[in-house]
Amino acid sequence: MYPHERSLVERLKDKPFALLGVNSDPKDRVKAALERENISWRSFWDGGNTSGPIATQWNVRAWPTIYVLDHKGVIRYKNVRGEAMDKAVDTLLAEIGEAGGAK
Amino acid sequence: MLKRVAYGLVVMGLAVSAPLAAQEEKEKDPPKTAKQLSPDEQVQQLEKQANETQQEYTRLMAQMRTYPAKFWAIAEKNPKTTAAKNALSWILRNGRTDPTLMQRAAKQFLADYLTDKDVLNTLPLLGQVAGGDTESLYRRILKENPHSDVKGGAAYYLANTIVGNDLRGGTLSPQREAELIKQLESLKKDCGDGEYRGRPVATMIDGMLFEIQHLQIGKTAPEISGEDIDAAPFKLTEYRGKVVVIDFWGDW
Repeated sequence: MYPHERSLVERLKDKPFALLGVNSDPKDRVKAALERENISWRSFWDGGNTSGPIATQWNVRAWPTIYVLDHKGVIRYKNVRGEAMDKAVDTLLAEIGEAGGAK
Repeated sequence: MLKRVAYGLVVMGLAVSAPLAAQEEKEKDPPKTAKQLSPDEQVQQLEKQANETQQEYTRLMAQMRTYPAKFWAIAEKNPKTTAAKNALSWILRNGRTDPTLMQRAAKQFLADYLTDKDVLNTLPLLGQVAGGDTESLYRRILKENPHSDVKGGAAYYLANTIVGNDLRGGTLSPQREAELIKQLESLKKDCGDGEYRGRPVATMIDGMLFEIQHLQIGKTAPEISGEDIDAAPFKLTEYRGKVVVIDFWGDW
């Protein structure tokens, strides 16, 4: 997971793209993970376990769970990983390019 | 040249004297105690002990595997008794090594003890037992079993059965969405304040309803408002205008 995420973030660092985590680990554990895995993207800290408020509201029952949103905040893909995630993100970025930046 | 020879002699002298000294020690000492085993011998001894323990473990595990059938035999001979109930209940809780027998025990338990509190232990097994009609089995349990944790569990499994795999892929037709909402709302009423594994079932159904109504493809994602790992507050909507991947993760 981490290598793919890292390379995605690196590849798109100059594009209108953001990877946002929602993390369910205790604080000391996630901090260690951030350092160890060189995690450069931001995460919500969901209270230290899998029953945190964000995971509960979003009915997350399996980890990892992925949502891909377009630039208008609309959910366009669910649970895509690896290459499928890359394709999804590139498709949605192209939509912004096609729209010429217009909202 | 002379220095080198002298050096060589000293080294030889040391090389000869060391084994001699060791031999002297061997003849002096009594038989070695555990503390005096060489590291090689220590490893050998431990390997032997580990092997013996492993063999004993294997023997005991084989013995454990005979128990489900023994309990089943008692239940079969004494149907509809407390003994049978307890025997079947043991299989439900401990019969993992014989999955076929576990399912038969679940079926028999439901047939004879539908209102018992131990129906709770049959719930995870019903997917295989009912052979396609799990939904009506769960509904029967929900209706006829009075125990609140059993009701909670039945409602939880029923909700999962109703929703099925619909939510994973992320797209729902409007009709399917309406149908699911109707069934889940009705189920929420029936399950009351039942709990399953410590969590209120009504809350879990609310989670499913939220997912159906707000987290399908085509819906605008709800706001997330929280703090990052450094306790700095931020929101999902700050990233409007960007393509966003939300990744629920943990480091395990």
